[in-house]
Amino acid sequence: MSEYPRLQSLKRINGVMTRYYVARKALARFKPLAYVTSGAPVEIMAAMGILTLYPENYGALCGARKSATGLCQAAEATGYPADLCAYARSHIGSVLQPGDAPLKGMPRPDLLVCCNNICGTVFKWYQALAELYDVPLFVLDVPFQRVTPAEPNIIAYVADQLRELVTWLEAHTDRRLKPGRFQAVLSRSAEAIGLWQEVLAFGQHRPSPINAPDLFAAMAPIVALRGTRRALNCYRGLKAELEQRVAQDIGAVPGERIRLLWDNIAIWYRLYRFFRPFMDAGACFVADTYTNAWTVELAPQEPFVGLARAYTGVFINVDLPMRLRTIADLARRFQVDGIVMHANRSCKPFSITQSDVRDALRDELGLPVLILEADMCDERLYNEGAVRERVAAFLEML
Amino acid sequence: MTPETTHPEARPLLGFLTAYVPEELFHAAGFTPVFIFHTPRDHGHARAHLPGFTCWVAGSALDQALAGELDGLAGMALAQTCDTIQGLTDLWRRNVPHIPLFHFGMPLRLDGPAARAYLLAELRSLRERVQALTGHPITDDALRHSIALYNHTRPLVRRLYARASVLPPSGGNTSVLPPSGGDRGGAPDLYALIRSAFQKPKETYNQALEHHLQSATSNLHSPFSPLLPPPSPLHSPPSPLLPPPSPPHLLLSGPALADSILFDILAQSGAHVVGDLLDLGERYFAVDVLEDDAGDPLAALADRLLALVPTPTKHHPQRTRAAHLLSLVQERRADGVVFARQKFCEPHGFDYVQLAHALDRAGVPHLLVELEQASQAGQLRTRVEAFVEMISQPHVP
Amino acid sequence: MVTAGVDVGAITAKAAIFSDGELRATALIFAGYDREVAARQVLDQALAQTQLHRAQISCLVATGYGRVQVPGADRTVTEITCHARGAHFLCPEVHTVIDIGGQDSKGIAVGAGGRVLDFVMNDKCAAGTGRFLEVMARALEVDLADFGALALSAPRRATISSTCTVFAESEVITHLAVGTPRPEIIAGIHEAIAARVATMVGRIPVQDTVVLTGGVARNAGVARMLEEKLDHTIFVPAQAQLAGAIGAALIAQQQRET
Repeated sequence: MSEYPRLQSLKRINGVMTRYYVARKALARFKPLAYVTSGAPVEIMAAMGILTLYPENYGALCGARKSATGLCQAAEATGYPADLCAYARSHIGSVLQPGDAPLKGMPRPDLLVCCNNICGTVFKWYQALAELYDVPLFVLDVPFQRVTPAEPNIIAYVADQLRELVTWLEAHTDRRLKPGRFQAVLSRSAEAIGLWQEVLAFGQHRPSPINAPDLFAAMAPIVALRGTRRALNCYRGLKAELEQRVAQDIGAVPGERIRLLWDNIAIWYRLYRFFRPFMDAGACFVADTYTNAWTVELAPQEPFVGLARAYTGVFINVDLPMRLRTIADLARRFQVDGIVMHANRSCKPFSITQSDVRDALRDELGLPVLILEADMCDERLYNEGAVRERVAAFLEML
Repeated sequence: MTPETTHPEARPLLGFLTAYVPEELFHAAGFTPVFIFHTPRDHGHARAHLPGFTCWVAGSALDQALAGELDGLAGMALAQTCDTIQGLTDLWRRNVPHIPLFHFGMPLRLDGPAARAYLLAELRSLRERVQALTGHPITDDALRHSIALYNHTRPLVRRLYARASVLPPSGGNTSVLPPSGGDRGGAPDLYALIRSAFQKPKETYNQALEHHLQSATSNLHSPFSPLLPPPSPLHSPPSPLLPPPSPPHLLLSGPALADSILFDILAQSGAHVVGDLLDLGERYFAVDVLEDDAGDPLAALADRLLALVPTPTKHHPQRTRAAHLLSLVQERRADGVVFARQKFCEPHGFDYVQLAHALDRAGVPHLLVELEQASQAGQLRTRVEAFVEMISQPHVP
Repeated sequence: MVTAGVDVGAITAKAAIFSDGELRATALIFAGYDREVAARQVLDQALAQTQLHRAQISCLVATGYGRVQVPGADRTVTEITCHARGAHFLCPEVHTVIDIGGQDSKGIAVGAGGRVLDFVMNDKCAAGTGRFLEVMARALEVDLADFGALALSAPRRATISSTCTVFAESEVITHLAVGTPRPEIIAGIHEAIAARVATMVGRIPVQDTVVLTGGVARNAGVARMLEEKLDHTIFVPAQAQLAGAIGAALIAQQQRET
């Protein structure tokens, strides 16, 4: 069995995120704190000096720390059906039983900002939080981008609401949006996204210096710290380390002979362990659709319209033909030999069209596709034996 | 062929799902909109496209379409509501290309000028897209005519509900139905009549419903016969625990209009359904469209959609479902609420918890039943009967 | 006044006979495939223990999964209401009843006189019911009667994380393959069912005294682990499996008195 080289930058990123949580708890006494969804335009809050925390990111943490089962049960005991999104159940469980939760739960928010561009479930989740915490909720309604490019009516609606969001934040806090600060944050955000895209692009190398689980472990800053200098530092460091690997011809998976693409959210409670059989067979996941979800470019010149376009056009909010083009393009550019799709019980937007995506990729690219049923966060839905069998059969096929 | 000249029964059919499709617009275009209710029958076609954890309300429509059962439709309309419907939009476009799909981007937000402006723009966009298919314009006059027609239906349905909430149910178990006349009353008949509203041309429906409401008794062999045959005398169960002096009043909540098995079980349990918060139930018929010869009919349609009590996928900060449910409990003197949730329905899953907690605070008993593609009558019956037994117990001081 | 209760479940049929407020006889048999025959037989068996005849029964209440198939029943009442009433008879201080049957499980909040205040049910999924234990016992080739004691004898518990019986079975097989000691696997199985039941029961207020009824109540392993999960002592009456039939007979008595 080969030794799997670890990226040093990941340790640093982990440290940054731990400090982020700890700092939020401390700073929340002095600055307003907003819970936001992963697809929310965090640049606005960052520019206004409003702290942000991500219940979804926390849900992933619960999954990774294997605390999700107990927390989900706590939520289920108050009536939440067990087939609802596991991030929501875990997080709500942590609100009900903070003693059993990682970091003893998240600090109380002052505000809730919910953007439905990633799914409709977040709206219901945030409604529940608004009641649990009795705090104001802003709903940013981003319509489904059913054709690409987006229809002007949709962009206008979203841009209108972004301006409304600023007014609302100003009314509920003592913060103001200063244009200068806003532009600075937007620039940093655009730069961070650019850096992140460069990091992802390293997967095109043969051998790839990076594997999907590394990307999952590294993605928290681009989600939660977009617009900050810390995010830039994290990814400059990671980029440099990857450049070094390429220069020395070091692959993330020694003896890389199979290149794969991963679809859907990570399986957080098996972050690296899941990929062991692949690594042992020389298979590296050189690209994925989940980390690619944060690659939309911002346009600092026309802030609200630019943000509206960026946040409407996220991968999971666009029509299926557009998503297929994106995935097929990824598969070609990264020269993949096969695709593994996580049929994630918790995420309907990602999972509901997977069968059709599989068929289209098989027909169009002639690539073998494996669909695995599991859940991103709820370990009770993970069938170790079945997964092992199917992975083994798939690897034999390649 | 214009809408006004085509006989109602001869108009092309437009299938739809969700409680937010602007039916009047499609009617004005010359279609008869019909809701595609889910059925327990599974042809296995949808399973090839949808994961196992998908609700059957959406799954059944796709399944029926792929099995060729919907080939009579000239089009299909879906309003933006939940992630599953959004996915269905994609899957329909790809797999059912012979039935053109209209996606109507109903906003999630019901408050504020931005949402209204967007909704209006989306109605205009929908009008254009439908016109492009039919090849003739949808005039404002045609819209006003359709609006008037649908405005005629709703007060009739409201009367139906008012009557049903007052009439006692037929009582525990009438194993033999009267051969003619004698409205059984109760949930199965009421909801069969409501379902008909979504399956027949409004012109026909309005007439028949008026007639039904006028006559003291209704002919059971009318077009409104219940969808399930009455229980056979041989298998009629002995009556449950002696019914209390007045049958318990229940409200229903959920997306369950098509699940006739539920209504039959409710009727047989001896409970009296006095109202509902079903997506296609009372709330759907509660608000009329403002009729104004000088105004913009699309704006009037928009205002009705914004004024309705929200379904779980829509948001109005003040007009909440919990407040509405509690006022309904008070108004109808309900003894309990039955939540009928489709398995895997996320919006109703979360909504149930919020509403249940509100009912807990108000001391109102409630029951959750989960419905599936093929719901088990025995299991449903046990839960419903146990709940009815529980709320029928005399109150202890 | 003589009344009777017949509880026809998925696996067993039970009967109880009361006369003048006293429990006179009970019986329990396997239900087999013909519920009607089973109902008749179990009632006859109970009667045979007394000097009473069928005709002397002034009211018969039927309950359980097969309640509509009990011949001669005057009323049907759900097992929720009957278990609450029966548990109250067996333990007057009861406030929470947990019933784990062959194919379903229930949690019932009980008030004064054995009335139902609230209830939750699991009848959709085998995990959390007797079926789960049956499947696992078969997979391990162990007698179901020994299952509970073996679970309690283990120093450690293997982890069985799946909520699904089918998945859990494959987890058990994996454990066997890697050499996990059998008692530990069995302990893990018991923990899994207890966890599942506890989550369900958590949806109603859990208050002392907590009474366990139904076929699985005889399994000391489940009872112990359930105590752990709920952090409450659990009382298992000697006639735990008969709570439904007893409750039905008492409701029949109440019927006649009003």
